[in-house]
Amino acid sequence: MSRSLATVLLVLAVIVSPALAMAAEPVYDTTGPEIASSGSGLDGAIVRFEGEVVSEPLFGGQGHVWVNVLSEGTAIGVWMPDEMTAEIEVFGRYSHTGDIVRVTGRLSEACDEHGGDLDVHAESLELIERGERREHAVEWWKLGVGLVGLVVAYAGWRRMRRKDEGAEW
Amino acid sequence: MAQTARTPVTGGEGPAVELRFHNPYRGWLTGLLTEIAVFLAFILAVAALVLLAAQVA
Amino acid sequence: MWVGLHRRDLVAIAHYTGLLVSSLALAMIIPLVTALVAGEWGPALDYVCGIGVAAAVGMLLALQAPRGVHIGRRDALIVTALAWLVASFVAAVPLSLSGNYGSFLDAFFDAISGLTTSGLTLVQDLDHMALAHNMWRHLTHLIGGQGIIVAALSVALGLKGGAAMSLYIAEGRDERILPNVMHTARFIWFVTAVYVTFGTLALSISNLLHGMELGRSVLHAFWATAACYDTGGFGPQSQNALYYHSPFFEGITVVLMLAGTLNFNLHADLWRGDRTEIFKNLEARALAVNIGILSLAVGLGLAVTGAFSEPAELVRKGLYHLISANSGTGHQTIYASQWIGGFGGLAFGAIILAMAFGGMASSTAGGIKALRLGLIAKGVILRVRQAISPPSSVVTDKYHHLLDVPLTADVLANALMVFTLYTVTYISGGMIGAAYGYPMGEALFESVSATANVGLSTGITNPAMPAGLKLVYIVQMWAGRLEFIALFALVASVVAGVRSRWSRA
Repeated sequence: MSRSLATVLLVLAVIVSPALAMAAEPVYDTTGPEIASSGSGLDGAIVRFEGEVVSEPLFGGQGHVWVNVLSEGTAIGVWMPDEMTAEIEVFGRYSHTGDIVRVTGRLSEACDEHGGDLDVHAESLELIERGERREHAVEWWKLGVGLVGLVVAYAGWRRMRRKDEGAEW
Repeated sequence: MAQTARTPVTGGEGPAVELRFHNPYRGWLTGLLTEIAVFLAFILAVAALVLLAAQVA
Repeated sequence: MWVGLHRRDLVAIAHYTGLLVSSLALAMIIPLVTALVAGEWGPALDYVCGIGVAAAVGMLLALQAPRGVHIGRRDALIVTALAWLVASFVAAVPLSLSGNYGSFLDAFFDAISGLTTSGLTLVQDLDHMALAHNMWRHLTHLIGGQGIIVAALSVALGLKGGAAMSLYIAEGRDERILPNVMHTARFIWFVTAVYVTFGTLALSISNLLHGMELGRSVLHAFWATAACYDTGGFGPQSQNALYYHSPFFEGITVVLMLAGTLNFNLHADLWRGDRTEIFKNLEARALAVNIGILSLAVGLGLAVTGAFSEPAELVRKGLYHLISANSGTGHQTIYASQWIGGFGGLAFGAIILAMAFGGMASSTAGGIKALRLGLIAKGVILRVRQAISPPSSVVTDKYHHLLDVPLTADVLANALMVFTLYTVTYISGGMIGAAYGYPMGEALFESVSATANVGLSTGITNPAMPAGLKLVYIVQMWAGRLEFIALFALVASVVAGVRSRWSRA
């Protein structure tokens, strides 16, 4: 009986202790602008923020890539292992809104590994919403204005040529 | 092809200089490479100065 | 006594302004093609519209007077001042239709910032901007950098003889590298073409090695080259140069920045094989000394604030931003808030001075310019020598700028006058920013950045900024690019015109 109890307690302890260890380091929920603000006081801390993945992944060396996460109007460069990008499919650009992700990682306002750049070294990435195509309406009136302008310009040019060739001003 | 004494462009006395090309278009590659070399040397010098000042602090 | 403008002056001014604006319509074909190739149909229409407006406005203005109409020095100055304004207005049209700007004023701000090679931006959602619009933004740096006048000359839009020369001088270009004005303009474009090719090639390779796909690699390379060689400062992503996280990118672009800030005369000399001019030249020396001293200040300042703990980081950030500032480029690898938060103190002040002093004359850089600083320094030394010499002796000096030239009172007076004008503008802009509630340091930084056409920003420049301040920076960017004289010619003429109307009434 006491042996099973001890086993149960031991197993519980093993399960709980990492949680305790992780709980020892606080995670701060934040946003892009706050991260880039230099006054957040979060330098060196673990931060968590959500945003849209944009542009493209760039090689970051050592099996890592740079992924830019646009959070409330400010894009933050996140350095993450290649494998972490497996969940990401859509990158935001003109034609698409990118995947919305939640990143948790350590913020460095002047990263020693990356030439003093402000970055986040990701520890986990969670996909929240898949990105999709953006619709852009084609506004045909612009074509109209353009053509009218060109016609006016052409007429003006013809007039100029005629006046050059003979008539007085 | 060497040319001596280029025509001064803005008036005044010009020094007689040995020029390799009379025409700046022809010397573009040598010119480009020379410039890049000068810039790189300058950048290194500036980097050294920044480093020097940082060490002193 | 300033004489007002007569009708014959006004029509000549309109004519040449119109020709210059028409050349923008031609330039807009490039972003149009970009849009079509990329399948960006909406933006394609934005450029059709823009081309139509530019062509129509340009032609209507040009119609006001016959081709080759005579234009005097004073009117040429006015054309220069007006051309920048009208061109910016026309260039803003497609941008305002893009959806990336909050208002026409914001689009106009970016257009004039692009053409004056400043680089301050009010763009929104830059990471979702169409390729065509980014192409246009960066093209404005190329067009404006070479000077709208020079661009038009090369395209040979029918500016004949005397008119071409007047406009050229009015632009602030003092070089006469090759005997003929048209030839000089073409040489300037040739140097640009060589550097743009070199830069695009080098950066394309760098981008490809960093994992960008081919099309984007080349586009980004071209845009970054245009921004750095023309010392503009726009970038295609919201993080500006920080997007790349690449020492290669920074290294290549710093070389381009220096190339862009080199006086075109020196390019000509070096390419002719004269290797000594660059070392004897007063301007090159002044710029080197300037950057040298400021680099000590930056190094010391950064070490004191302790923002960058590793020496390698400190040097990389310090050097990059110092050269970006002094050349008037304006690319940054830090976020706006890090100017005060990271740089701070002495380094911050050194960067302001770097921006204020500026690059070389006859280049795409802005600011007071190295030549004037060198002349003023020499002038001070000369005065001291004169003061301590016996009254009967005559003390003179000369300086070397392509040739040995006597250092006369006239030359010094001009240098000091421009120095004063810039300084007054820098400070006034700073005070106005402070009046709007921004901290003085940042307000001064932003004011200098605008007037010296640099483009570094502490964050004051953003779409939510007060409209009045947007207008102030627009005027500063414009005035700085014109080096004030052309602007004053315009204002004086308008005032004289109004006055004469008044006295007649």
